[in-house]
Amino acid sequence: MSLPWHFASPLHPQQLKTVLKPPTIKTATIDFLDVGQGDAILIRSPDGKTALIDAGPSKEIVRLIRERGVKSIDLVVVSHHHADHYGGMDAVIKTFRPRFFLATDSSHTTPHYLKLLRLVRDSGITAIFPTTSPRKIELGSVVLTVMPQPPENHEDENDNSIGIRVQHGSFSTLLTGDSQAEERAFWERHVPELIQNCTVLKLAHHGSKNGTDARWLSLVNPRLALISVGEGNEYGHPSPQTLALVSRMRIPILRTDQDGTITIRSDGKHWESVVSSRSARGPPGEVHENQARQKDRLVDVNTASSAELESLPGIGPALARRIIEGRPYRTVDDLLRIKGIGEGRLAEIRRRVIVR
Amino acid sequence: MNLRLSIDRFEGRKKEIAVLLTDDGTQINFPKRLLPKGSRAGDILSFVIERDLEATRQVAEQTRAVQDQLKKTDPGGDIRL
Repeated sequence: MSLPWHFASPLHPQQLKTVLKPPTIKTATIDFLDVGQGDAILIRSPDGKTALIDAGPSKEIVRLIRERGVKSIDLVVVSHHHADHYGGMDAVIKTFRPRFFLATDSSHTTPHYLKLLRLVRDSGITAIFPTTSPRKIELGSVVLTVMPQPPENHEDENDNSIGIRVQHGSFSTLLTGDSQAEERAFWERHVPELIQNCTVLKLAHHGSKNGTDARWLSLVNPRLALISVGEGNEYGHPSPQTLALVSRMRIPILRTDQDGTITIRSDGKHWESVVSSRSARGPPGEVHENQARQKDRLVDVNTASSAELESLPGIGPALARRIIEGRPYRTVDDLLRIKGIGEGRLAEIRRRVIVR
Repeated sequence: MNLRLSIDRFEGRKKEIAVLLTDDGTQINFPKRLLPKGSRAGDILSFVIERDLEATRQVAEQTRAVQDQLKKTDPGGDIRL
């Protein structure tokens, strides 16, 4: 099934998760790999260049990369020195023999991280470090701009994260590791042009409260927000406040704990997102169309019919009638004023509804 | 600091996770492979936890040394892959 792609700017996506046949034209692909609690983002350019930004917590990453037919990687990046971002990197380096390794020179370390650095050195890989000014890394037509690195934060390694804007034509993605308020403020002051108007934003620090705020979202102005997070993690990621904030700003969210690996494709003008939900995961490239389509249709609470509202979990004819009578709604949270809809029921339907 | 923990049970597909209990009932998941050989549910374990400042300093110094070596390989400027 082929649906129109989203324009990279500034049209609002009509349908969030589409299911398409592989495009015939050459596209850039960004996979937000489902590595559990951690980050791993695989970028492939139309020119055959490949970069991996973070390697998740374990060597399981190697299987996920191999499943995608990747045989070699040109560049690997460790966004910061926490093991949920580099735990699988030694296995990646031994398997895919990258030519370049990008990391900061932050002093935060462990014997585990030291072992990785020694592997990089002993493998003869060329190291790249962020500097005080932006630095471009070209993967053919896909350009990674490494944001200027703020002075080292000795209290919190998260604020030493590498920030990268991925640009392919008019499509862009912003990746900022686990950056928190202090580092984001630095980038806002020094390189606002690298932050503004990105098509896709990875919410920093697994969707935690300190990884996102309204000001940042307004500046980035994304069409889609992604969260890389482990199902049932003990850290409380993502934060309910962050989810509510993103929802209030009417930005669709995809999450690796619920959607599995999330793939974004772009030809430089248009883009699409493809998910293979965890419950419906199949061989690489296979997407379970019917399940995905049925699950992914967003219901506009201001215009949906009673039948459409009743397709939502926990909504019967009586509640559907009350929702219709309570229109209009300014935000999804306005549904809380409907008798019979509390925080719990709203949480169940939040990802399925939208207010337009 | 000497911490007393008891082995409450083993969990996981291969019973590879030991669930340890502090005396006040806090549960800690711990890899079974890191326990002394022959450890069984119900055993009392004694954990000695100390900051090893000398080891911390050594790892920090060794990390800085490798980072300095790696910096010498950085060609500088923009990169074309």
